[in-house]
Amino acid sequence: MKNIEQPILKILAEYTNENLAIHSITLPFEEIGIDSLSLVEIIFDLEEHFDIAIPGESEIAARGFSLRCLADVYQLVNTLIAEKE
Amino acid sequence: MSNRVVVTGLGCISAAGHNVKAFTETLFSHNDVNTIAPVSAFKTTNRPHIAAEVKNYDPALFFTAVQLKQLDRFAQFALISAQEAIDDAQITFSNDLSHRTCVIHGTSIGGQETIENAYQQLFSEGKRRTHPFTIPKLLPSSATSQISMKYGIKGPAFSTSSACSSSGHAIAIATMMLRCNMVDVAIVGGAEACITEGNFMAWDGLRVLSTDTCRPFCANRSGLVIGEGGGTLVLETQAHAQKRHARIYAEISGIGMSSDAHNLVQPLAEGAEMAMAAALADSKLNAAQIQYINAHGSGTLQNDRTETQAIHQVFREHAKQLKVSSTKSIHGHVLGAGAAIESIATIIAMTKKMLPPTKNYQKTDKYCDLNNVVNHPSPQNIRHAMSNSFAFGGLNVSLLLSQYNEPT
Repeated sequence: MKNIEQPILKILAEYTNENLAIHSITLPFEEIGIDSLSLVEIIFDLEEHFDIAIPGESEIAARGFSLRCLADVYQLVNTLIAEKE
Repeated sequence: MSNRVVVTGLGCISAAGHNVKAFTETLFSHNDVNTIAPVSAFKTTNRPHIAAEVKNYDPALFFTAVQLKQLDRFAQFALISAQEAIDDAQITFSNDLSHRTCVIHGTSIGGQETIENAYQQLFSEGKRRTHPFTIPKLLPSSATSQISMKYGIKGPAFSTSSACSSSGHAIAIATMMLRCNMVDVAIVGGAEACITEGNFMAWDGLRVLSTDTCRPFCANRSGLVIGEGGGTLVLETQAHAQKRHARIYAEISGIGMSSDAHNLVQPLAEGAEMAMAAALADSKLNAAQIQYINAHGSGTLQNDRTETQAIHQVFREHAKQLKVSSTKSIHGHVLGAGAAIESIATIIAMTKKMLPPTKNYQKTDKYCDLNNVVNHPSPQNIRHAMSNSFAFGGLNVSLLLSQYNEPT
């Protein structure tokens, strides 16, 4: 598995003034200053960086994923990279 | 009887300075102001390209990285000038006042930098799509939305777009809304940031750009110089301003609007005459009471001569007494922000009792035989002044500004 955590942290850091390293990866995004508007941009950045296509909200939910916190992002990105490869 | 409308806050950023204080110093400088220089925003081709760029501008001094993701450069200038004007007016928006305040901010082009960056990615870099906020950022109305959101202003909010008269129309429309009691306070102005490679080359295609400097009304003029920046004014009804003991800079004593109905680029004197005459009629002042005109004065042959002709037609024998200058020779042609920045220049001239000059002036054009203030500021107490904006497509606005007198 590739190290996806560092690039993801780097992308997210552009959207919040919080220090992500000191927070639990299960802390909801809204509690670290990332709103739904930023999440739209973050999804775009993740797709660009990892060359993946993140499905729409309903498809993510149907597949048992979500995008509520950093842990969710790690899991989804890992899965999508694995599927691509 | 309609409300009187007064100006209680000023804010601007341009090549002539990042705030009103710096702008004032540049306007009244006796020296070469060096606001017009070779373009630094992009590499120019073999032809020399000059512009009036906002120099030494660091967005990080005004906005966080997160905020900047949603702000085109023109919206940044709008917010910077709005903040200065609102701070200057010392006004805060309570829930009630937020409903009685409008934001009308004009732009000619809108989010040009965002458009060009997106097209670069799509058409040159092989990207399949653009950043998700490309559209919200590039909308000409985005600056208005940003101001409304920042201050929680919930009254009417929209943008005006009429090329180089955009912010003039913003001021005129807001004045009407204040007069008829629709709102108590108006945040008005304009912003522009289109010194981008694609836009600049398009202007170059029109063959109107100067390759040395901007010298309006001058026989050896060489064209216009594109500028960038933002200008915002806080307008209020006189009663509202008086009630909160606000400092009043000036009164908007007349507004005039017209259209040439003639040509996309060629101006018609008749249209300019109509706008100036309409402003005079609206103000109840007579022509002989006007002492200074901050001219549209773009520095193109057609504008300068047409505007001169129109001023003669409207002011007749008084035309020779009028002092005239074009501050575009200092801050460049800031398109949609022009009328706001030039209205601010006119108000500063009234408050400082000093007329800003047409800089870079060298040689008299016999067809521009007005009493031009050239190269150096000229002390004069001005009671009533006019600011003209005559845009491509024949869209004209004349604003009359007067020293404020307490009601008797």
